[in-house]
Amino acid sequence: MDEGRIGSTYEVSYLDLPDATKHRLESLGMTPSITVEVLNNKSHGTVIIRLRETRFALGRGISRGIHVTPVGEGTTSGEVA
Amino acid sequence: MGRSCCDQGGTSGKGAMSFEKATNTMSPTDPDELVEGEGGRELTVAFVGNPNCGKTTLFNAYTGANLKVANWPGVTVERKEGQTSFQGHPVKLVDLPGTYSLTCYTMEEQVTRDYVLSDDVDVIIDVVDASSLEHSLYLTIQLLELGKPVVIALNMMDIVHKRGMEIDTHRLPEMLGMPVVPICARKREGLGPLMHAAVHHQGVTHPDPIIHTHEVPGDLEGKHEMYAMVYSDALEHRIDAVAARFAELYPDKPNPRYHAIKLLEADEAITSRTPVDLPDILDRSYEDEFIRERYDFISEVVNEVVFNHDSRAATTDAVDRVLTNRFASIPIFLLIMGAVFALTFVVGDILKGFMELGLQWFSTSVSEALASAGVSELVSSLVVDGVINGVGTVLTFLPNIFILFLALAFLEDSGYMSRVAYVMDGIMGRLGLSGRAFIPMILGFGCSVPAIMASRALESPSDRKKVMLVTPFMSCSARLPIYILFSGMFFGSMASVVAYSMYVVGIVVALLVLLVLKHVGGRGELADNGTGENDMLLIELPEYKMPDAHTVWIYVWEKVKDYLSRAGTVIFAASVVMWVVLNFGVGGYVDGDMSASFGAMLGRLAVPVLAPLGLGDWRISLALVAGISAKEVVVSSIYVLFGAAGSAGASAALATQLSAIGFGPASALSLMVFCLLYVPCIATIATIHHESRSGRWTVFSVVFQLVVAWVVAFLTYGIASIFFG
Repeated sequence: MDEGRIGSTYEVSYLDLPDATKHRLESLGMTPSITVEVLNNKSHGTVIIRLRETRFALGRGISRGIHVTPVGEGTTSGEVA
Repeated sequence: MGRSCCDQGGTSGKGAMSFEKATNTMSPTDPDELVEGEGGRELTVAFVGNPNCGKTTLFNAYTGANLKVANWPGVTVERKEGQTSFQGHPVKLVDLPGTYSLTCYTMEEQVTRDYVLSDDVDVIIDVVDASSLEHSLYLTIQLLELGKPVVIALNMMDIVHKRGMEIDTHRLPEMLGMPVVPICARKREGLGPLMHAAVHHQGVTHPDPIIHTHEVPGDLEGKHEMYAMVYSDALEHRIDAVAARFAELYPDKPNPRYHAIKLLEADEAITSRTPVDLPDILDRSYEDEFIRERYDFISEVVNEVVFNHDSRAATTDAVDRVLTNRFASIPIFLLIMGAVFALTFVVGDILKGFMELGLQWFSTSVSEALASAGVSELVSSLVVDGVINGVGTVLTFLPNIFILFLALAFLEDSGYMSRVAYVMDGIMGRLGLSGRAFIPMILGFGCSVPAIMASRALESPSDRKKVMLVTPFMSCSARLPIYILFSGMFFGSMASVVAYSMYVVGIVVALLVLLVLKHVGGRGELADNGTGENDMLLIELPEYKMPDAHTVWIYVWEKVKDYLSRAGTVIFAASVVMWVVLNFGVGGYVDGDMSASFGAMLGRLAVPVLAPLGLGDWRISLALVAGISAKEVVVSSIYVLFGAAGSAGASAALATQLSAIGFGPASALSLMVFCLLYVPCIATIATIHHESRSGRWTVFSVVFQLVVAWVVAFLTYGIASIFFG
């Protein structure tokens, strides 16, 4: 997710994060196959996403551990972190 | 008709009475049953919900309280209680910190979970943001599983309508099995029906009839009549097995199903308090599966009850594209903060001039009235020189304080505060913290006490300690009078720039301390325990909105009231004490010769420490010692000590007196920096102690702040002396 392009939509594949962070994200609705829109992305991977109609800011340490596949516009193919 | 979750064993709610109602009646409670003697038994209703969903707004609307509300997650960090009544029945309302789930990650979430699980609550009102239903229902499902009476308050219906969304409020309660009441807390709409539903639902621990239209897999049809949330066969069989064993082991505990689910999720608190010996079934954490299945059900609910749910807040997205822009976000943040302080200094100073004229008139009038009434000179001096001039001088800065808080209220209620966490995340990340840690620091511009308490939203204890250590360096409103006074006296047209620079110095020192802690490596309580939040920012960004006039008024009025209250208590007491120690010495009344007073003796004790900072006069030293009670006392004390208060052109008279003792611009800068960085006030010390629960840490914080203040003021004086002589 840290390489996600602004305005693009991604499908969450899996979360490679410490258990506590992973469960926290899941309880916020970041479950497998859910789509996430990247609204902003600083150069170092701090992102703003739209998840189930709610915006969240995520630090690089978290966005890097969210593995996604692109489904929306302006993206490259294949899985990105 | 469904059965209560508690039917499987034990009681819930406030004692046996609630349980009896729950098990003996399958219909909602008649509110008259609440009455036990005159006045009736008090019903306890708790507001639970996601952060920033409007719980405190609802609490204020019912109770008439003025608790702070703002448009960012984490404003409420403590449990707050209030009273209301419904049709003559007393109701205790409890406002709880926001939480996304009943699994805790922060201190504030722990507060909510502990209370919700306790026997103290009779009815839970689950405050749900209707404009973000999918996101909100996760907590709702967990609350349902508690087996306690729950009523949903579908808040923010005005936003739902504004966006063109529609929610089927008949279908939603059918699917969840609990009452749903649409409300708009901000406009006080739907409050009567909501409390009516809560009172009638007291004691009802079973779901209302649940009507599903989906196919029921496996052998779980019966469960679908009993529970809104039914999991897959695999999970349900595990739940049944664990619940049955739990009921055997802990017959007095309520709701085995809830406990079974938590045990299968490997919840630490539940597992340690009520372990169950089923190693084959409790072989690992099933939290992932539970979460996914809950969200599957939520999607099902949302698809059935929400129409046009793709309608989005386009304005927020557009504003965010500018305010969180990769290149412009930090300059915009600095510009906004610059504008806040420019308003505070420039507009505030104009109004302050009128306040000074008023104080001068009042002081002279009282002095003349006391003289004509034949009151002794000693008493007259105490009233006029001690109290009126001491307290009055502080009050003349009220316009500056008012404008500062007005601007901060706009920032907080607009939704920008959460964005600051995102904007500052890069910088804070380099210092070993997440951008979220910057929110308490920004709040520190208002007052250090709530700012330190806001650090509860941070997950890591070591990060909390770091934030608590540096937040007092952020310049609170009580220091404002000091900057305005001294920059005005010694820096003429550059006064506002000098005063503003104090805020910058505060931020820079705080960030430098964090940098040093990161690179040197903190020990003990500051050591990085591996759970630090570096790069681990996670914060919800609410929609932007026009600040609400009532919310802003509450915020500003509470701060102004607090300032006036401090003037009438701490500053009043400090002024009286100061007058006493300045007018009496070992030989009794000093009759105007303050140099022989107890105050002079005390001040001279501190002179050797403060002299290297250009603050070697005993009167300045004494004012700084007195300032530990509250920072405003520094200003009131200096006026009184130099006999300049209440006179025409008080500031000019004070400047002349200070210049006469060699106190120039370099000393003024040194004093401002020292006041910026040394212990803010007694209340802050008490808060640090309360939050850290450590006397050792509190002492360390105080000593640390004193040392940093001394070192930075020493450097400032040395450098400034080169330029100003």
